[in-house]
Amino acid sequence: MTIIETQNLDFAFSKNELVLKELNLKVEQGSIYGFLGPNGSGKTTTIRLLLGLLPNSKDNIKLFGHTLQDNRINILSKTGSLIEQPSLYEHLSGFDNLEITRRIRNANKNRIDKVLELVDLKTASEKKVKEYSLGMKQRLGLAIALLSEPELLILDEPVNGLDPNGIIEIRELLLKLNKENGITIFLSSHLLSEIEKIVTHLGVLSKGKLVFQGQYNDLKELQNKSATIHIETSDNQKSFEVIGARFQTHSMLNSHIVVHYQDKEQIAAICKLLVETNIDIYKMQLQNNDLENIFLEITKN
Amino acid sequence: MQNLIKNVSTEFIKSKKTFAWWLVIIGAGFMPAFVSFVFLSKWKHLVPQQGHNPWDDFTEMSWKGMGFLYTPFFIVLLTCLFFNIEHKNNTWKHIFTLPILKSSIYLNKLLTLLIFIALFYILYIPIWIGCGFAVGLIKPQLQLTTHSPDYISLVSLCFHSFIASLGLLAIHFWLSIRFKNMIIPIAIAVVGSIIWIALYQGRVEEITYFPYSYHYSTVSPPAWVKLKMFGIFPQHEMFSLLYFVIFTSFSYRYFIKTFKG
Repeated sequence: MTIIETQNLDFAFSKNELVLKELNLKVEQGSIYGFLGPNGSGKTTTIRLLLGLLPNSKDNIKLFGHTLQDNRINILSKTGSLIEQPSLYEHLSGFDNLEITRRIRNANKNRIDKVLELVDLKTASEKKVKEYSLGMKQRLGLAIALLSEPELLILDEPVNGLDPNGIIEIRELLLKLNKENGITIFLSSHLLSEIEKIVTHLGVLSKGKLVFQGQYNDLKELQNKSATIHIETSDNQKSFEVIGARFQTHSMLNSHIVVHYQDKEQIAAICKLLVETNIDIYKMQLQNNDLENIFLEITKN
Repeated sequence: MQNLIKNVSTEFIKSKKTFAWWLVIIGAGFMPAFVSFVFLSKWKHLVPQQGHNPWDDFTEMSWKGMGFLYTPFFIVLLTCLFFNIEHKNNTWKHIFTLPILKSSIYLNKLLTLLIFIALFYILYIPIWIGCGFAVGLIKPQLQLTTHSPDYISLVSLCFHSFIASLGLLAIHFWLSIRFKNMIIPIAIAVVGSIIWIALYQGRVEEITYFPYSYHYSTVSPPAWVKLKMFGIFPQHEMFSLLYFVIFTSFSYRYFIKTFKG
């Protein structure tokens, strides 16, 4: 079942400047969907539209199979959210913050203890929120989002500003919620490294356009396809021709040639080929092609 | 109904540990305490003549003090502080992602403020009576313990003052939604109050259309304005009700259609 679906979603704050362009999101039930994009690419705008915080006159946003416009209350009752910095009443205790949402959401009283335990804030629940650290506030925001046992969690940059320990804690918590409770999670980030360890699906947003959407493994495949090796030899021109006859070459520069490779066996074969052709190899350098670079490449293009 | 009570109760949780509560409590007690201080320090000038009820002076001094700038600014400050809880904590976006209608959020806020104002008057009554009798015990010459206050008039003044508050409440309810910076509504109230004092000094008849003057008009109707009654309400209180309806409709529309937090 598709939990979030948008069809050609456009949005503009002013007439001349489209912030989102024909966005077609598809988030499947039970997935952890990472919504990636550089700052200013339109992630928060998308999330605000998904939660009905920004006006949208068309029926092109569906959550749980229903249009947001006609089923807002029903959809929000099944959705927990955290937008940018958590919205908390700083003069109140963590418990009071939870109690406010609990009453509005009609959740059971025992849910407060459960979510406090889940985010490890039980001992700090009576403390005023203004005395909390950023990580604690983020965890409290998550606890509030989890109060009504939602089927969908929409989180906008949930690890933003957290230290590495905090990032690991939130990451583990989200994985646990997804695996044990079957909660579909839609989370945004501008750093792939922050979320690549937990996502099953990815959507990459660049300048308001969805430039990649698919399973996380699809992105890894893309990574393999774009892997290159830089080779410097005694005769670069000849090397380019020899390698080009058997393998996919990319380009020839002044100092070296660039060759695509699929696996390490292929590197060994290229090496062997050059030696057999009596070409001296001065340098073979694998190019850094981690996912972060792929992400940068995609968003740059 | 159960949901309404539950939702309104969340507004009271939000106001916990804020100055709004202190404003209601201190606000209700300040004027009786101040008038008591005046009575105790100037008691020789206030000893009643034969046949005169000293509670009449205690009432007049208290209510004129209340009506002048005190109650209007209580309403303005309370409304600003109440909305500032959401503005300051940036919590509107959280509220709007909860499964609750925007109209319910608006109604909860309005009802809570009306309850706060009602509480102010409810607290004022026993504090005022208590202060009067305490002054009477300390200075028996003032004869406050040998006479009784006019309880019906006291309750009636509270009721009419409450009605006079409604127009001002609705205007500042809208302003507090519209402007995140609470200085703006307060500045408007300061300007409004200066205008009403000028209108009063100038004995201008149009003062009856000016909501910042309504509390004082309830306590001490301007002699130069012909008193027109509409049932139990004098004209300015009818205008207060009218302003309440107009500005509430206006702010409701703004809150539902335009306001995004």
